Amino acid sequence: MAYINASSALTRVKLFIIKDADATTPGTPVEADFYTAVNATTGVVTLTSANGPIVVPGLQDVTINNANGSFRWKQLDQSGENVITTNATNSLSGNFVLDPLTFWGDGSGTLAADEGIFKLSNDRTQIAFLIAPEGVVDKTVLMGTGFISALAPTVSADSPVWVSPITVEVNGDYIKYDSTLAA
Amino acid sequence: MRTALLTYLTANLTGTIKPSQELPFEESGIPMYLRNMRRVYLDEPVKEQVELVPTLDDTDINQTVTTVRGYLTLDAKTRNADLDTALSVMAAAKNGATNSDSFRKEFDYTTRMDTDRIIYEFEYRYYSLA
Repeated sequence: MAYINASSALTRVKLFIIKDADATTPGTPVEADFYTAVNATTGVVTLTSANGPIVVPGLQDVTINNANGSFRWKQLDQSGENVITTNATNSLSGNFVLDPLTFWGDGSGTLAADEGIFKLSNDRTQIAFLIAPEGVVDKTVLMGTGFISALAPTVSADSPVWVSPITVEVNGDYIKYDSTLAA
Repeated sequence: MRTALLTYLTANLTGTIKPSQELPFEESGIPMYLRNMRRVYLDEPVKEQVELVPTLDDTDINQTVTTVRGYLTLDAKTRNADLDTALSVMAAAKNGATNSDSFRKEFDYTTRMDTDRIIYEFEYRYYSLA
């Protein structure tokens, strides 16, 4: 059995965020909206500078939620209930270490990287995202649009580094795509 | 860290128990703290780097644990009148010694007998971001 390995330089989990309005076609992001090239040997990506992507650093864990609803009904001629799934609630959730530059932004413009994760959440800006569960070198990625929520930065005396949960509430469906820009 | 502790102990251990500026080296196979009773010896600091916050993208946040071990030998037959004060000073040195980088400080000690001597082996541990 194979498995999804997220431990090497090539296969580390990556989460890219841009403003949805900056995507080539808002509402339907494509791979090139986030990065223009990937080094197939090192996994290093060349970001699409025109869109100012944020690569969320210091991710501690990530959960991809695709929770379908369900509708159940009973029939007199059957002993068991019938069921059909309904629209899914999609979201990405996880925890990350706060990096000042990506959390607060560089403040020099209006792109996602300029404004930072906090402002995107605070302003309720619609974002486009690309989550790469196994890196972006010829691997499957998920894209979509949504909103950042659930930020709750915290620090403690025993672990004096700010960390925060983050959730991307996905607007509509995930777009499953096999990355192709590695060379 | 050893220097800061020694500075604090030198200033505050003023009874019959005093700190030694020397390391607890051995002479003819016998450690200095066994030769010179009522002297507090501090060893060289030992550093260990461990993961504090693991991350998926190899930007792990690490912490450095700096450990300073110390030794004090006393006569086991007659309890030293300054012992309680000295132990209080040594415990207070954990916070009193100048060390602004640590977010967690620990001190503890154990005792063991060696014929008619009692040996206090103590340890300071300082945690800081690497």
